Amino acid sequence: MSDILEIEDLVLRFYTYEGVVEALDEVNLTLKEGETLGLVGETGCGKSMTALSVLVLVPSPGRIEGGHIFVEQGKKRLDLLAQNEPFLRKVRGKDISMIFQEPRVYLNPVYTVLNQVAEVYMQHRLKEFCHMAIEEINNEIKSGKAGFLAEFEKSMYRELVENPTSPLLQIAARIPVLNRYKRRLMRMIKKEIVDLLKSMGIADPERVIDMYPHELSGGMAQRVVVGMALACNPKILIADEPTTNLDVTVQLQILNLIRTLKKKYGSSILYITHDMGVVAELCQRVAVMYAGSICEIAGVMEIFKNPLHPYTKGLLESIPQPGKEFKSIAGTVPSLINPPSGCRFHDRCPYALETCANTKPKMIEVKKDHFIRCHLFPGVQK
Amino acid sequence: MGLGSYIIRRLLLLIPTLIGVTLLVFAVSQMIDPALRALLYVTSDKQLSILDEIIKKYGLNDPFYVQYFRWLDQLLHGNLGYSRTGRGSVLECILLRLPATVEITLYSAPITILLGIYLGVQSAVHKDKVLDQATRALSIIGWSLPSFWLGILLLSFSFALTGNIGLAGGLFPPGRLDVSTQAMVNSPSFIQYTGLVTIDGLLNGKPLVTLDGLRHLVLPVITLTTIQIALIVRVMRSSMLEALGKGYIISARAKGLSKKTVINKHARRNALIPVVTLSGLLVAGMVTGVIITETVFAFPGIGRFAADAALQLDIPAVLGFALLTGIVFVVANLIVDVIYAYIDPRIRLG
Amino acid sequence: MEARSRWQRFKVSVQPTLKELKFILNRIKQSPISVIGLAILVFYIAMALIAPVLAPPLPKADPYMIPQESFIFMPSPPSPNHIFGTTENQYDLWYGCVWGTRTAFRIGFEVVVGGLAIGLVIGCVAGYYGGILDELMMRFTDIIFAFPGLVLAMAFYMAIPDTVTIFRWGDINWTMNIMSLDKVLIALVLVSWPSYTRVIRGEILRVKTEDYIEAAKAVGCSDYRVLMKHVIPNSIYPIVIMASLDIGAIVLTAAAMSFLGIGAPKGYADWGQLIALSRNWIYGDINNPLGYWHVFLIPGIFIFTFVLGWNLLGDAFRDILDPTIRRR
Repeated sequence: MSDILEIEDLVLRFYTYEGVVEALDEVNLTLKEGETLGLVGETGCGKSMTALSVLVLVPSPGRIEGGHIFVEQGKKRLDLLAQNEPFLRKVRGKDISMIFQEPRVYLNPVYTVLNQVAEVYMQHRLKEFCHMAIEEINNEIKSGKAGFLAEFEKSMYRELVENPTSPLLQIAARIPVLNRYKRRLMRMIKKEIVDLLKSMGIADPERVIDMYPHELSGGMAQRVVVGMALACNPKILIADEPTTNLDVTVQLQILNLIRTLKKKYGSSILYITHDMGVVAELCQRVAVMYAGSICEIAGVMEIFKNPLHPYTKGLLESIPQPGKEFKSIAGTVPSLINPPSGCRFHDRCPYALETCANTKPKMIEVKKDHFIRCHLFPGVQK
Repeated sequence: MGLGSYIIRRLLLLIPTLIGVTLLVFAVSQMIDPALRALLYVTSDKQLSILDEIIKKYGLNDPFYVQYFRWLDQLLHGNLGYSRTGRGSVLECILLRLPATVEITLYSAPITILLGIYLGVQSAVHKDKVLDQATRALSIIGWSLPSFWLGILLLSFSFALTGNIGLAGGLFPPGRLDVSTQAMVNSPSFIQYTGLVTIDGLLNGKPLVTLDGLRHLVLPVITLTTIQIALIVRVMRSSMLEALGKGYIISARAKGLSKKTVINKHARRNALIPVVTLSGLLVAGMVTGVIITETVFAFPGIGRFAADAALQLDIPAVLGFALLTGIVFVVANLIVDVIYAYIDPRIRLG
Repeated sequence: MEARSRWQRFKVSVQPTLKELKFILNRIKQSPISVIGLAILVFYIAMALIAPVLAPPLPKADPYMIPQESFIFMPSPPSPNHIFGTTENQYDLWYGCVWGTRTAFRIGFEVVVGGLAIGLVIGCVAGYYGGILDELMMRFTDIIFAFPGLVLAMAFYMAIPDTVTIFRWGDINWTMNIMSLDKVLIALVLVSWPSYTRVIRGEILRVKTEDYIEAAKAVGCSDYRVLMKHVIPNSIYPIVIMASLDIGAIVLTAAAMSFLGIGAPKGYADWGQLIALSRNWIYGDINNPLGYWHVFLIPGIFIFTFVLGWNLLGDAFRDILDPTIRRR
């Protein structure tokens, strides 16, 4: 399996009024093709920021200040951080998609479902649909059922294909009678969206399509969001805690949906969560994150059976189980404005050595496919 | 729940409010001496001499509710009383001067709203940069300026700078039209289609009339706009900042949409919602502003009429003006609420 | 517990308020805009306080009527005798502007205090007791809101009589004359109390559902006590913000009414009235268009900076006292 996404030494800082927040401290992560990688950690450890960095959408005052994000594009290996904005816009939503936590917050309340899902199609698959429209018009002309504006429509679609930003189109879009040419296009896209929503498990997509986000239930809204993300068949799907705010039963449905869709579309998923149970259900490999850096990466079974990093151990031990005593990790998550020196976990670590307070450990491969960043495991660097 | 039923519900709510408005105006009139109040029922100057009879006829010493319905009845027949200052029935006086005020408002309101929205959006998008600081500074200065003072300053400086170029009163004089242009407008060959000189000039094929009208409008419109724009800019800016921080902005960008599209399509419509409700207040501000601006610029509109009437203690005129303004304001708020429901589908569930 | 003297108990009870004041002053110091606003207001407060020293009034005359040296119609430019010059009919501008400061403060405070007083009472009753009383009050404020401020103020102004009978019994008849400026004040109070009522009622509705109110009632506090000690202190900040922003608007409206002629009488020390006197001189002299600049420019600058000061301060208050971002 090749690496479809590789994050290398990613550094992210936020320049706020209170000081500089060292949000991501040399994050290293790889996503292999076809797998589901879980990214776990407490709130505030930087999981979401890592995800946003992949899409290069970190909100200001954040600035990515180091590292690379490598993606496989066909046979080439590109660094996303070195690309310009127009290129990135082609990648977002098409090759790499992202779904978020609370769907009704992440959907625009004043536009219908149709409007917002169609945006993805119009952005990335416009040419394809234009060609389909032209073909349909040609068929109509052949069978003699074409309206008298057929040639005009054809020329508009051709213009859309060749020159999407031409001033002619911009003017035509604003004139009420002329912009009827788009109706054919919208009709086709609408049909496609209905099929998409059906495959997301929505029972009556024709009705849902005209609804507004606040009229949808949490589960329904999340299905729409998942649909939007998968509309263009992305190679990489980043899911940022998509089920955290949903009822448990709905959670299960969405998880199943994601699992089924992954098999169908063959995408690789980076699944962010703080729920170890979901990780066990869904992921093949897991990365554990603390205070802005990755502590441990390993296969799911391996991590549960054989957690090596003290933080991972603490995490797993603190999962409440009936009959067992309640355990938690001593101390609190540090502020990232003045993070602890050396290994950021050292002041809460029950096994801390002297060197842990001074030097940052490097990521090493302790066993096959089991990476760790901890001074307790000296060894050859990765 | 659709837009239609929301509109119907709001229309029904309109009626008690309108009744309340008339009640208030009537209550105010009741506090005034009957001799002066009688003028509310007079329709022409002939009746001025028979005031005592009128007092008896309209039972101005009768109980409150009796008088109220009598007055309401008059009102619905279009009789708002007789104005001493205008020397005609109040309704006539107002209708005569209405086109001038409409003309000022017609130019000021769109500029205020559109420019205010644009500056608010730009301010929010380029937060804390030069444009933002400058806009906020100018806004607060505009809000603190007395409108009559601004008008006087503009008149004075425009006259000082352009008084010598051969046009009477300089490039931007007070008043509505030059004497000669006014004569042309009053002549029988000039048809007043709308009562708005700038439009009528074009419709009559006399562009010079339009130009003259426009040059008299420049300073009053600047005055009105400067004072009002601060409010729109401030609210638009803060609501835009709020919208830009919401989750759907990131979602939209994650779909591959450009920054421009995200700002204009996604953020702006959400940000416009509080501003729409503000437009109702804008109407109130326009009315207030128009009273002062027309007085300063000697513009023959209903604002100046109301100011003159207040100075002369012309009760029917002032009360009539207040009543009309109240009704216009209530209707404006209704329209604003409907637009609000159109933009924000969440409200329709109300 | 040892017995405490009344003075000691007072000191203790006032401590939290002092801390709040110190906190507010600190935050004001941090923003240059609000410092400017505060500086402007301090300047005007000083000017108002030492007005009799800056511009000594004539003996036995009402200090608010501007003295006239002569009755020449045309204004005189600034000179050593008259620092700001004189207006039409030779009213001294310096005197008018200095004493105008007192008038401006008087207008601002009287209207705000009056509006607040009425608004507090009605707002508290409506918000706390709710029900049909609340509905009635809200409909009533809705109706007042249906009119633009200046228009309603003009209508009220006309309705206020010139003299009012305070006491009548048999042969005794005490009346009071209401001056035109007082009429303006009363009219403005009547126009502005609904806004305060709305805000206070909103705050009370919010505070009413808080737990400490239930606790207080459970311990047996009377309604009045609950209102005074718990509800009002917690709702005060939005009111402070609103009042400080309102003063500017009220001074502007009063100045506009004076300008239109229905406010302060001619010769009264009021900035708006001074500008009204300048209307004949906007175009200056034949050869000198800006010849009489001092008659309209100077009083206008006073009004503008006064209102600006209050607006800046009000904006600063709004940023500082916003409960969501208050604490460090």
